[in-house]
This record gives sequence, C-alpha cells and structure tokens, in this order.
Amino acid sequence: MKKIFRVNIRTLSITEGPVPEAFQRLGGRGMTSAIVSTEVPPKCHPLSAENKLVIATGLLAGSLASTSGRLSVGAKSPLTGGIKESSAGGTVGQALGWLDVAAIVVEDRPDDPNARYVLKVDRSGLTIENMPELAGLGNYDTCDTLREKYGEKKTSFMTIGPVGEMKLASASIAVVDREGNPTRHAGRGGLGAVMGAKGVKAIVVDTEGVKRPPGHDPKAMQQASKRLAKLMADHSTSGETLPRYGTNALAEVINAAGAYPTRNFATGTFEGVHKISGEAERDIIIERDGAPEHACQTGCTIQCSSIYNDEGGEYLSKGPEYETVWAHGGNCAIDDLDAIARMDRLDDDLGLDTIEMGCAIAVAMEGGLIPFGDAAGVIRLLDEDVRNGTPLGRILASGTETTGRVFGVSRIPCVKGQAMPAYDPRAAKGIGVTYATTPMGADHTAGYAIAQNILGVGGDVPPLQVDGQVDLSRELQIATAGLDSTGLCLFVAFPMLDEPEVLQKVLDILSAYRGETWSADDFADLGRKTLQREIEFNRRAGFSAEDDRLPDFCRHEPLAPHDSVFDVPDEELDKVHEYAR
Amino acid sequence: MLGDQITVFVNLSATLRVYQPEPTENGLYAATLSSASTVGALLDHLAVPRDAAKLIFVNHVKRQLDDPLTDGERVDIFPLIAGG
Repeated sequence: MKKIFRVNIRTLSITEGPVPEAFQRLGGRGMTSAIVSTEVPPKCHPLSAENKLVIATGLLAGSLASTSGRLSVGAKSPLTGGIKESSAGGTVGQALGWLDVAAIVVEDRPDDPNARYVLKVDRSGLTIENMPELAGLGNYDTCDTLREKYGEKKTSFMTIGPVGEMKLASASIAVVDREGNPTRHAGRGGLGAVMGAKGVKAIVVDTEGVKRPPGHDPKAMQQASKRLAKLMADHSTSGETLPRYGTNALAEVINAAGAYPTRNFATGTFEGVHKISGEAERDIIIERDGAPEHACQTGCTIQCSSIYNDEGGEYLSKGPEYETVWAHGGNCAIDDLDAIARMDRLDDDLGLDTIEMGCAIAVAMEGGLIPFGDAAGVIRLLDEDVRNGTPLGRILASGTETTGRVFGVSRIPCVKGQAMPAYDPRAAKGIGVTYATTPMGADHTAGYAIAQNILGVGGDVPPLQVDGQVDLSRELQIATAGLDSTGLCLFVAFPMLDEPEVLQKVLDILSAYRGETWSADDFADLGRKTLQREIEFNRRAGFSAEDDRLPDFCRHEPLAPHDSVFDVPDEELDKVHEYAR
Repeated sequence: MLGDQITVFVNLSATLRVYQPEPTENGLYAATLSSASTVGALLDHLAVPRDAAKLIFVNHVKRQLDDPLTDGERVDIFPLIAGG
C-alpha cells in the first residue's frame, strides 16, 4: 500500500500513513497541487513555517513503464508567489516508487538556522539526521559526502546547493542521475529555497533489500509497457531525433522559425546558433568519448540525455539541455559550447534553475553589468559572486525580475515573476498563451504549443496567427496536467499527439499497474481538476486575470525577423481557463 | 542571379545532415536552380527524399513542397524534431 510520510522539521517528528481516500488516484503534480492547495495558506510567505515542501511520485512510479520515474516537487513558490510544481528525471522517483512512497511532506521550519537535515528513506521508514558539515557545499560535493556515508550501490539523492541554503528564488532541487551526478533538477520556481528554508539539505533514498513492485496485473503491465516502448521507438521524435541530438535538436529549428530569443529577447534569431546546436553538441560529445545517448533514469527508452566531456576528455557535465544552451547561449549572445557546459556544471553544482539564471544574466547584460557575449564574465559571476553569496550574486540568483529592477531594464521577460523559456511568444503565439495563462508562471512545459506552432507534431496551428491558439493551449494544458500526474516524461506526449494508441497504452498501464480503471475521460478530468486546484490557490493568493498577461514589451516591440507582436486579445486569454471558474 | 537561374542558401539539420553538401557561404550551401524551382525541386537537387523533409522554412516561414523559391532565399530543412 502506498504511503505518505509527514515530517515536522521543527519538532523532528515523523508520521507515516496511507494515502487519504480522496487522493488515491493522484500522483505527481496532481498530488503536490492537491496537498499544497488544501494545506498551505495561499497568502503565507513561501519561506515561512506555513509553507510545505511536497515531494510526490507519479502514479506509475517504480513500474517498468519507460520514463515513469519523473518526480514532482510542489510548494508555494518564492519566485512567483503562486502554486508551483516542478518535476525532475533522475533516479529518486523510481527509488521512492519501489519503496511504495506516494509523497513526503515537509512542514514547519527548524529553530536552528545552522541545521542541515538529511532525510533518509529506506524499507524501514524515514529517519532524520543533522549533518551540519554539509553546509555551503555544492551539489557535487554534497553527493560525494552522502555516498561516503550511505554507500552508492542502492542509494539515490536529492539535494540543494548553496543557493537553496541562501533561500534565493532561483534555487533548484537536484536529483542524481544513474551515475550519481546531480544533473537532473526540479528547476523552476525556487523550490530549492523552500527546501533550504526547511533546513533540509538532502533526501537519501535507499532501496537495499527492496524489489520493484510488480503491480496489480504484472502480465498486462508487461505487455502494455512493451507496446508503449515500441510506439515511442517508432515515432521519429522519441525514437530518433531526441536520442541522437537530445533536446538541443531544437536550436536550429526554433532559430529557423525566427522564435529563438536572442540578446534578452531583442531578436528572434541568433547568428551563432550553428556553433551551439544539438548537432554541434553531438559532434563534440562523440569526439571526446562522451556519451551521446544516455538515459537520465533507469528504464527510459528515449535516452535524450548525454554526457559532455571537457577538452581533456574528462567528465564536465551532462550534455546541456536545449533550454540551458539557449538561456546561457543565444539569450546572452554566447556561442561557445564549452563555456555553456561549464555554466551548466556551475548551475547544477550551485543549485540553480538554468532558465532563470540565463535570463537574469541576459537582463543584467542589457543593463550593462557585463557585455553580451562575455562567457568568462558569466562564469565569474556564477563561480565567484553566486557561490560566495556576494550581494551581486544574491541579486542575480533572486531571479530575472529582481535583476531587471536592480539594473534598470525595461524588457523583463517574465510572467508572474518567472522568466520565459526559449521560445519567443511573439513568433509562436500558442506558447505565449501558455506562458500567460498557466498557473505556474512562464513555463513552456505546461502546454507545449511549439509542437503544433512550429514542429508539425499533433497538427499545425501557424505560429503567427491568433486563431486557434487559445483552444490549443487549453487542450495542451489539461492533457499535460494529466500526464504530469503519471510520472511519465513529457516527451511521451510527442508520439501521443500523433498516434492515438499511445494514450490507450498509457491508460492500459495505469489500469494494470494500479488495479484501477482509467479512461481517457478520467485522464482529462484529472488534468482539469489539477488545474482548477492550482488556479483557485493562486486566486486566493491574490492573483487575478490581470496576472494572466505577457509583459508589455511583447505587445509593443516587434520581433525580427517577422516583425510580429503578441496580439492575442486579453479577453481571449481570459477564456483559456473558463472551465475552471 | 544568372539569367533564368536562382541561388538559394541551404541548411540541412539533424538526421538530414548527411545530405548537406560542403558549405560555400556562412556555413550554408549555395544551391543554383532554375528560376521556376519549388522547394520540392530543391530537395531533388540535394537528393533528399521528399518524405524525409518534414519541416521546411524559407526565410523563417514554414513552406510546403510545391511553394516556389526566389533568388537569395535561405532554406532550412529538418526531419521531424522535438525537444524542450
């Protein structure tokens, strides 16, 4: 039976209980948003005792379904002030699934600001230890120390770096990959700061003596999982271009579409994209004996991750993802992949959301802190200012909006305080609708209209037209909220959009693994209900329709090469979540 | 432009890189075609199978196989791609 651990981090008391009846069919984002929306006072300060850090496994966690180990983390966000769910790959989601853990809820705040708690979950339950010696360590050193203490064979970790300990709004939570490196992050929304405010430095999951749960109907489970893996292998995105070129396969396409935000969203194409593309990245990785195709979690058949070695052939980081290459690359006019990989390593080590950090630096570049293109300057800002917590480092790590204010910049690419990702909404208006209206703040994964706007996956809705974008974004946001509850990777959505059998197999797997009946309507209802909870939390936190807007420059500054502005009317934006009101 | 010929500048990406001729200008290949050429004719000129080219942008706008090309345009050609 699945269980929920509750930890009061002030009294250090631990309770273990079953999943409440009302939450039985929830997982991942569905679970975190249900707990946060019912238990966290919407107007509380995100770093206060009243906020809760909720870690939830997906409905399929621990199963043999490919990619089913995504891990969700939720809380009230220090970056947006609204509800937040951020998910990560890596090994912790599956490990917690093996241990039948549906969620861990960390409550209250420690009396001792110097405490650095480590929560350990294993087959006997959950225990807490104080390891003040971890204070100030980067995620890489933290993981090394944890490995020495807890062993490495059956353990996996989620950790925060110094930025989380400083409780800054760009702080991420790292999850280790299969090599034990802290490279997969619940990046967005500053959840690392919430973990830091709870005094929790790490969560250790140990699966010693535990076996994979076979699920309710192992035979049906095996058949459906095998078929799903085959369908994913047969689709040319999840089966060919994603494994071969990684997420950064997108750089050339988005640039070709004129939607690659460059120099802090000043233009839509980057002249140096060829040097930082997925193709260039793959060539470097192969030349240096890195791993061009790599699974970030056990059992993933897509394998879109990679391992990036430095000039000397030594491990440097995972292959930087599309968003990271863009945020630190095109958006800062940097065309040096080695420098970007070094920034990726620093972000992972310090515990930073690469999107927020890249956007903050680009805004600071526009404000004159350092010139666009100054890669050495960026590395210095990260490795010296942010790592040491200088006032400048703290400003940058507090996010793009704060940085923009400090440097007197008017083009601040944020929605609800969260920086926009690597698609300019003026050249892809469907994703603009998602940025504006998702309860998460600007977030491409919440309703990835780029698939239909640009990639020709799941149909075509031309990117520059207004018609159809609102309906597209709504449908995608609902389906995504459902998918985010399963623990499956969002990249299952690409074959799902083109091949109806994929959704049926996901439903078959849900039914077989959990001993429940799941229909397409159940799946959509779960998505709608999750969004309703999130929107209602935000409303009670003080958000209104006026917050579901893009920053003003998107309506007034035409973007080259299309000279387009974002012109989806406000009243149309207000229709996206009409069903939820 | 030479008489009834046009030149377009081509970039092939991802799995279609194998069809990319040696770049001649700014990392792009300058393809010379007859002036009435379509996108499809360019693919034939490059020996790219028409059903392998899923995304074609001409001067940053998505185009189809029977759309005409004009002199000096940039053409980006992709297989089906995803990421995020």
